Amino acid sequence: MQLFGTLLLAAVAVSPSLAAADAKFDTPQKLLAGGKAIEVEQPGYASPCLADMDGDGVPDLLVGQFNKGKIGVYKGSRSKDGKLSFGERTWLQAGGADAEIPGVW
Amino acid sequence: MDINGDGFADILSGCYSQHGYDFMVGSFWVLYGDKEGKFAKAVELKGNDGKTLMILNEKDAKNSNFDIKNICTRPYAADLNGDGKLDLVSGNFEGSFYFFAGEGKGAFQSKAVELTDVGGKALKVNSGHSDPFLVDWDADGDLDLLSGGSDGEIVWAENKAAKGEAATMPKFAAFATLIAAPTSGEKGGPEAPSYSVRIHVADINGDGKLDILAGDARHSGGEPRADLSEEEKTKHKALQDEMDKVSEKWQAIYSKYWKEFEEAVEKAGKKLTEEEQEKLWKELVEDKMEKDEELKTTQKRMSELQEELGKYLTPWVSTGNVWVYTQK
Repeated sequence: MQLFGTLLLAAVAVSPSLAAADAKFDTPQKLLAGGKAIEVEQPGYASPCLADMDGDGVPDLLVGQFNKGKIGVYKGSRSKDGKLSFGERTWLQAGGADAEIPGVW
Repeated sequence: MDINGDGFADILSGCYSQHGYDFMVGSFWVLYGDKEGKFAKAVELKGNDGKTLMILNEKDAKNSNFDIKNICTRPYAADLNGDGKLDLVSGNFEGSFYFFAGEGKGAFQSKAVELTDVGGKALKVNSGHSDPFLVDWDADGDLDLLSGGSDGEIVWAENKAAKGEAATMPKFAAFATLIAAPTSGEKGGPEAPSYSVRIHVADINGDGKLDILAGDARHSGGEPRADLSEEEKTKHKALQDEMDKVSEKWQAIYSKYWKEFEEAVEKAGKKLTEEEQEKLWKELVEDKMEKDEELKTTQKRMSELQEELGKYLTPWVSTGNVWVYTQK
């Protein structure tokens, strides 16, 4: 299980890819979780990171936010064609309570 | 990522600015994981000097001209110099990138070194809020540097190290645009990420190409409500006109005091420290301003108008989403 979180958050090296220097992208789309667009609490500042949190071999999504430095966890699933999707948010737990990163408010 | 090398995944985070200091410190935090996949409460990372790990030394951190380097940190851990130990690269409010050499098992050298390109020029995200993500973007076997930023642009710096040079510090090219900042018409709208973009790179749709997740901050509100009646529109305009006049008056009064202060600073004949300037401001103008009835009346009316105007405006909303840029 590899992971990294943050708010202003860190991440982990991903595996090599076929990415090219002259990459082109589709129009950005809001990422959904549990059928709804992922939205952090006010005042915003979403910081995403993928990591396999539950050891099932599928990356889960962590999203840091400014409010209290909390981190949302969205369980990842992978379809047969390899596409990732995510379930509804739970709050990352640390020391028996919602995890909070100090210095964020 | 296993920061302390105990075999269990940990979570690493930066922060805006930690409490408890008389200067601003965007310190680094780790939630250490255990064998059950649970995490302990966040603890602060220390440098090899035993002090809080931070981008600036204490002396520079106290200089308010430098503190934008020291706050709003976003760390990324990877073995950048090829010595088999995790290093840290952190972004900051200013938009620069700092490297902390790893000493293994979660220890890092205290002194941060600013990352530069192969030409020796500091790598910088011009809009601020640098956001390092290290990944082999061009699939040539070394780590490239990608970053989001305050204006939503996503940039990358190719690691130009030749084959066999992997066990040295990367040789980054200057930043090139990967995804342009959304145009002003899209800012805050539904079509694209807005501000303070934080990225993560991975294959999201399973096509073998790297995609980019982009978290953002978006703010809206403060515009006249769409459902205002004609009467309300007239009332709102009258209030706004009065607000403009009162604000202008307040500005004129304040400028008078500011000019007096500036002249006194100039007359001092030496460069005043921040503390000396604060003392001078208090002694020279603060008491006068507190007794200035015209200023007080103007400020009071501005507050009243602000409250009244708020009834005609859409509420302020600040939030953030996660977006996917799918690579074609």
